[in-house]
Amino acid sequence: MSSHDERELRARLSVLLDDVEPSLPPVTQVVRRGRGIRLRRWISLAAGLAIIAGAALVPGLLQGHRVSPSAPLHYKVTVTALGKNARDGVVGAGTIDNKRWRVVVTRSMSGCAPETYLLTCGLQSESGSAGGRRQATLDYAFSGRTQFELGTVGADVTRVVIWLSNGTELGIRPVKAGGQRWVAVAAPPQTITRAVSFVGKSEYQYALPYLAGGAANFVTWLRPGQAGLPVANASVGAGELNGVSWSAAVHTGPWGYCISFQNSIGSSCVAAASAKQLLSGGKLLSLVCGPLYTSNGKQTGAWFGVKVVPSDVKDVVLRFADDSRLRLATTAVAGTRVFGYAIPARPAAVRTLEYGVTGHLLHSIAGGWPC
Amino acid sequence: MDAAADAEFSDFMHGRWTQLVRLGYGLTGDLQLAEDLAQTAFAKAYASWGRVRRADNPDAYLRRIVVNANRSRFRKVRVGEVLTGVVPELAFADDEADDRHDRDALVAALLELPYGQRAAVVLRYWLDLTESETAAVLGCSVGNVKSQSSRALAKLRTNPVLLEGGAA
Repeated sequence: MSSHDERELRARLSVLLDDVEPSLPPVTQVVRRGRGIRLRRWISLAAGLAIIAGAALVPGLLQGHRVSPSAPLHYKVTVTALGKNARDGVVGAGTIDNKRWRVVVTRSMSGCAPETYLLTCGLQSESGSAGGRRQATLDYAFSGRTQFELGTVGADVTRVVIWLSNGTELGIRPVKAGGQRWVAVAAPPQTITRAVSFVGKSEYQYALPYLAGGAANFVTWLRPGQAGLPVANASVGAGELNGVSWSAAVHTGPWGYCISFQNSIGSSCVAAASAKQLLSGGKLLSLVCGPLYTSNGKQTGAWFGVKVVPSDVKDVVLRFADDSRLRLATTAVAGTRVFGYAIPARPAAVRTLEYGVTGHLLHSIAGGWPC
Repeated sequence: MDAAADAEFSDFMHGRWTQLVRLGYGLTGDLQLAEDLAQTAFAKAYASWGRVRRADNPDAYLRRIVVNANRSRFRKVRVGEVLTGVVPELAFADDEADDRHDRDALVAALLELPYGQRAAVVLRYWLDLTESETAAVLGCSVGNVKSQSSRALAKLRTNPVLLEGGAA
């Protein structure tokens, strides 16, 4: 076909499609659907948390090769050696039960688009930079039938090994694309149990995943021999505001701090190898915060969050602009104390008072709310 | 999301709604379906708004959802329906009838193309995306885009109605 024909086709498509006049953008309807999608994501996360909670009942089960109840028993995963530089943006490839999977990075899109055996991500999207020369990151994507892990590693990291629940060790060499060194793998849901990064021939860091809706979420990387946070599950608050019931729970372990909650959006994990590391940045740290929604996804005008305070803080009192007060009890979790809250947007909370075990005032902090 | 973020999303959606529906129409030949696809894309964008708003190219994200959502629809209906690619003939008069005939011929020709070829044509020749941008939206290699486009154009070239008499 000649360039004249191409021009003609362009012109005809322009006439056809530029004439299409859609109805007005249904913003309200779309927002409602969007909130529904977020809610469903939360529900699938909650299912993952239920698995974690169940596993935590058996000491040691979360260490090493953990097989979750829904993990398939028989499967075969392979990875293909790709060389040092990516071709056509392919940074990971292999097979799952003889079906080929691929992970592709591209400059031409942002975010990630998982399909059954294909994950395509923008170069600057999920994983970002691995930071230091020896650091590794792994972010997850989930297509329903396949979980993908995609990350970047520093210049000194020679390989990453992914362990699966059937004992398979998948060795992955970093592949260069867009100025970064990528590692990628795909596996059936709930089968990835551990990731280890190597510098030279030595193990440099390892990570145990938090299961989020069937996918392994690697949040915290630990040095060999470092245990990380103890496994603990705690309810850190519940109540009712504007007719909406809410509750929050914290799940700690080698993966870090992960929070689940009802009637708000999404979920949150915070990397931490120890309570001290978590609290080094400030006295009153927000683990998660967002608008409070009704069960059908409508905004309530209130806010919801979970914060962590040092272990000597027993109660937190919020003072509002109209001088009213709200007392929030903290719960001991893995060497810290944590509390959940739901507060109205108005009147604004203007000051936080932290009280110790004996009831004496420890700190008085201005602002910082609702998040 | 707070009210400010909702307002930001509303502006975002108003600015892109028409183009995304038109893309959906190019892929489906059906305005209602095109609006459904666009709605799906924006709802997913809203659900991940924090990430989408910071993205370098949120348009590529939206287009990819539309293309994939329609591909899934195709798979679902393949068993239950027969997609004939034939647009029903309607009676119109004079110039309007000619315009309608031209448009219908192009829609019918597009619908006769395999889905990958059709998507490549709409993305390359209507949205004027580069081959690599098209590859990113379609989730395939640049080489695949080249071959899909080339095959599509060859097929359209054989359609006498389409390429007779220049652009409408």
